[in-house]
Amino acid sequence: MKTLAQLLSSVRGLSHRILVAVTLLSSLALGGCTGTELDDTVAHDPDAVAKGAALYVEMCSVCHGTRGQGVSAPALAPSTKSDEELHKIISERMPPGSPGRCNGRCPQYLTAYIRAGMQAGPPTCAERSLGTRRLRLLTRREYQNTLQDLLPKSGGPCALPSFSYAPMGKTLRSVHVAGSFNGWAGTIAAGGWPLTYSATDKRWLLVRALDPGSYSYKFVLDEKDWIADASNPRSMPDGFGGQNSVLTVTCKPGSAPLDLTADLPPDARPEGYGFDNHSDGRIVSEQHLEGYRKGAAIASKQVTDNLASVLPCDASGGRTEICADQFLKSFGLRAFRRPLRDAELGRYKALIAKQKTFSDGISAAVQALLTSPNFLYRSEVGELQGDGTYLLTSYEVASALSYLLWGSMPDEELFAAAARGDLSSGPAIREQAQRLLKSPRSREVIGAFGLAYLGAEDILTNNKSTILYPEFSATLRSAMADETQRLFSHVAFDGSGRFEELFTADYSFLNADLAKLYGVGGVVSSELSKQSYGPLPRSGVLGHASVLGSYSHSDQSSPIRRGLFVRRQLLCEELPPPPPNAGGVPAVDPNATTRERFRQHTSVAFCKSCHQYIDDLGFGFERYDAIGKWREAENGRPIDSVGDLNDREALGSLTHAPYSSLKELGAMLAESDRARSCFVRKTVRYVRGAQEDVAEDLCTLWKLQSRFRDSGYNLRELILSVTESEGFLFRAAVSEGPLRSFP
Amino acid sequence: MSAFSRRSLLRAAAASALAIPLGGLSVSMRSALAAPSGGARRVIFFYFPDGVAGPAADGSASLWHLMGAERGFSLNEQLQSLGTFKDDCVFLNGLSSGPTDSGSHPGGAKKILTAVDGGNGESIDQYLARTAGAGTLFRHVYLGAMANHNNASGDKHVSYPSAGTSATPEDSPMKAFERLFGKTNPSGGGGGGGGTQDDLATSVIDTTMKDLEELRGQLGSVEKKKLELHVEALREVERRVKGIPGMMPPPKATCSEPRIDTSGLAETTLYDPGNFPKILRAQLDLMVQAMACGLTKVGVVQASHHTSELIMSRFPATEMYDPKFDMRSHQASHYGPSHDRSKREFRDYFAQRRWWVQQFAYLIDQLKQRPEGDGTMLDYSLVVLCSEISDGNTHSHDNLPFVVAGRGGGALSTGRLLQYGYRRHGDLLVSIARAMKQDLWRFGDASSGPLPGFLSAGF
Repeated sequence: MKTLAQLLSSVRGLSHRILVAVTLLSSLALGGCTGTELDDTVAHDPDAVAKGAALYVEMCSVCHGTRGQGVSAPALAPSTKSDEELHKIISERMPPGSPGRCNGRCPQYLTAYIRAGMQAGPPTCAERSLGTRRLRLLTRREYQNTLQDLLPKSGGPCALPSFSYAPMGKTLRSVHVAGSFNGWAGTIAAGGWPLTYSATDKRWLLVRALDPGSYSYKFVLDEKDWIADASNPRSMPDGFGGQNSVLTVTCKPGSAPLDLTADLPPDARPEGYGFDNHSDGRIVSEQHLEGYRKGAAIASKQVTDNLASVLPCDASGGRTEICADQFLKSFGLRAFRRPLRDAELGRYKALIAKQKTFSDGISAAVQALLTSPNFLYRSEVGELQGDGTYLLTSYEVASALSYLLWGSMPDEELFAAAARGDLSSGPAIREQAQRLLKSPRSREVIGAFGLAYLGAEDILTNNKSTILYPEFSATLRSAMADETQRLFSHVAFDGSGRFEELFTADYSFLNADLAKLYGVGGVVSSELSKQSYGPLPRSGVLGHASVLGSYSHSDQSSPIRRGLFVRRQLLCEELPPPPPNAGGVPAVDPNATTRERFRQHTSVAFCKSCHQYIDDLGFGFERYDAIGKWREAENGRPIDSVGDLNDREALGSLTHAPYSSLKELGAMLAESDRARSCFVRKTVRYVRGAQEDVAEDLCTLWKLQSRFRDSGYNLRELILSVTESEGFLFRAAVSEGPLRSFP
Repeated sequence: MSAFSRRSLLRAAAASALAIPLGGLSVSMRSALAAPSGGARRVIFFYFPDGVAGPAADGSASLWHLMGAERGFSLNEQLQSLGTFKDDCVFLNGLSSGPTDSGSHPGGAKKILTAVDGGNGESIDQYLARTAGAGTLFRHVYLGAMANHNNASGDKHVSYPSAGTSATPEDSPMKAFERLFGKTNPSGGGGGGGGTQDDLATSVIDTTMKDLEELRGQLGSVEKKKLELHVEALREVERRVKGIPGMMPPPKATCSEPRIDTSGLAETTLYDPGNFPKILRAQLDLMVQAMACGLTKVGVVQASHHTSELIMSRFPATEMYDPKFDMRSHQASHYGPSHDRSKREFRDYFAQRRWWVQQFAYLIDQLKQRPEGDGTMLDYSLVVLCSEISDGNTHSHDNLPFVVAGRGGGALSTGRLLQYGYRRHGDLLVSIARAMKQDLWRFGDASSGPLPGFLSAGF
């Protein structure tokens, strides 16, 4: 029985809604500011229709059909409605699950597209694609790396293994290293590490960073003769009557860096953004400042403890003032990632002079420099040009490149190039970017990018049932995350370099625990190494436990999460949110498979309109449990693992793409234009630190997509292309509000 | 003394704790002495996730909302643990956060303390921090228990310092303790002759502040909001380092030597659901002690977050405990169309909600055990229980589950059940601000003024 209050509540709720609607209507009639203001630029934009087309696929086609033919929502073409009517319906009511998502110029672009008969050619891209002027707060990762690079080292780094082969007068075409670290690659093309011949040393040489661990290897001459490394006394039998050379990489004790981020809050990531570097979402709070002050206190101690090695000058006698000046110029340049301005130099000199001792002065200066906004944010605001745009300074470009590719401050060479003013043209930027990409530091960054691109970082913090998955330990979950990072960096740097390999790799990086989980035999080390899956049906990132486990519940797999993972993370597709009373996960039934339990979603017509895109896709993952282990049966019942990547290039196209294993799904995704363009979008997002917009960024994305295609979908080429794009270097004059806000 | 630095303040606080042992006088006797007056000295918002067993989809009546007359009502099973404190609470029915995003968890969480659609406004706690809390060492204390777990996006947080931007709670009681009680204060501790270190810290902050102001001047409208918030945060830190002019030492009788129980907890196990009850307890203790010591007037405790994956069946020694079966908060909240006790989801959901109420009762009890003035801390406090939605299954944003405890320094007459039919919850938020002596008449979207009959005369 309803109480009077409840009855009243519902009646008033209703009248309130009517009131809102009336208010909206009246303000619209008066031409008020509730979204009816038309932006003149759209009428003159030759690409308005193309922009509308991109938006249409993103938020309309799932219900209205790819050609506006109508699926679960009415047909749109041909439309009898006026522009004003269309605009009003779109801006106020569309998409139904999240009205208001299409705001700013979005309704106008969509109206233009519908008006054009839902036909759009390629964009003209006559207008320039400029970026936005920003200050980008260092992420926790960047902050840690930067301080580590900035400060005098307290311990030694990892030993850098070097390979050397003396040919003794023999003329060879190639020498390469093949070993447990690169899958015993028989050729350089297959991933072997080439040595280069040094005429002065009369030797073939290679220095290459390796993670700590033990490895075995051989030299391969001219890609056919396999020999042990004669200069290395350590070896072990290779199982074929010969010897493998053995290499152990260690890091000096004490080199484990201090965690300077412990007191910093997590990097906020707006819903759907995915990466840790969102520029607008991360705001400096009191907790941040307290964390920064702690970091600066530790850093200043490290500087004053090693004062002699840090100071570029002799501070004894009466030379403190000159020395302070020199210190500020050198350390300040590296802290602010640009030379200190005169006013700043004066201020910091005064700060040093004010302290009781010179050492206290240096300590104060370091603490101030490292809590200054000029250190905490990297500037991408540029300098005003004659045409009213802003061009990033060479120093800003140096930082943009180093944080993008190394996740840290510029190195000496970048600083030198910046000082020469060398970083304002595409070729110069490319040259530096290519240089940075050669360093192992960019491997880490690409690995971290990959894990975030997949949304698989959750594996590090997800809780799993201790009864069902006792093996899911802290070390196992971190190995799962490492595996995925290693695959990304391997594909980008050692493998084919191509996008498709991420999904089709028939190998992975496993340690003993992971190998056991996957059913790969013969792996005993606790360090990850490249292993072939052999006859096992896993392939690419889809088979990674980090992905399978992140998109599962604590005690069961989740076809919903896995289906949405493919749609959202890999295809950049958004489905409307579920209705309020959708109900949760069907109760666990000991006599049914997960697929059987979820059948309702696709048997009720209303649910089916969306869930056909989620469940049918997610069911194909059912051979893998909540931590990514293979299973033949569930609750004693056979598993039906046929899935469907329906409408794979555009929701609402009503096409089917059935698959029966993740290998098949991976192969389809590897060749999907939608998946490739989604990858481009996410790369752009990551480089910018801001959400992309399919309409406003149409030309940037379109150009990058064609370059990606021309490069054979090469991952490194894509990154280089983004650094060469106009918006990387040039920023728009006015800092407008967002053209379209994201929910 | 005109200014108190954090250290001298704490020294005073610790000394007073030694001098005045707790509970010389029984609490009930204290309450009877005199009615509190002067308005609420502090407020704590206690948020829990995923709503309550409200009106079900099949139309059956709410199991949360109380029925009866203003002063003639009894508690139900879900609210039972408030038994002892029934007369310390005001139960509110009929408050709504409005139709926008109704049916959505994130939409509700963004509105719950801002009363603005999409979290597009400052939240009431932040407003009060800025106003009523301005003279305190910490204007705002935001503590969480697994509130950042699986919550990379800020839209699961409830406190908004500015439109569209949420704050991040501190999930570690150990770190929060350090921060509040300064045990490892980087500039305050360490090097001998504290004066020098404080001078150094002060001049460092001055330099940084000038850098910041210069940068703002250069950029004009670019990144304006970001830098404004940065400046505000730095001013707060500056005040703490330099000392706060005119700040009074904490009232002697309410401050005890700060101590929380974090045994068995480590930074690395803060996301283990089995530790959750302990973490939450520590955060509640910490909040009460920070307030008892006068460190802050405005606190938010966020337990987990909406659509919570918190496996509540791992809470040891509770009625929910079942190591063989994982029951998550959000999973249980979708208990189905009816209050069906034969269904495990519903039974667990019901038990989970009862547990949240127990935690709220614990918080009330802690405040009530500490003497203040002629009564207890609770007499001068307001504690607000809230969640982002009403019923966990229908996700309604109407008839939200609000309970307010404490007499708010005479602003509130407790032991009442108030029915509002349909009224926007911004009106409750504005009433709380008024109870804290703020001259505010509206808060958020569609607010029509303080809740009638909620506050005592003169507020």
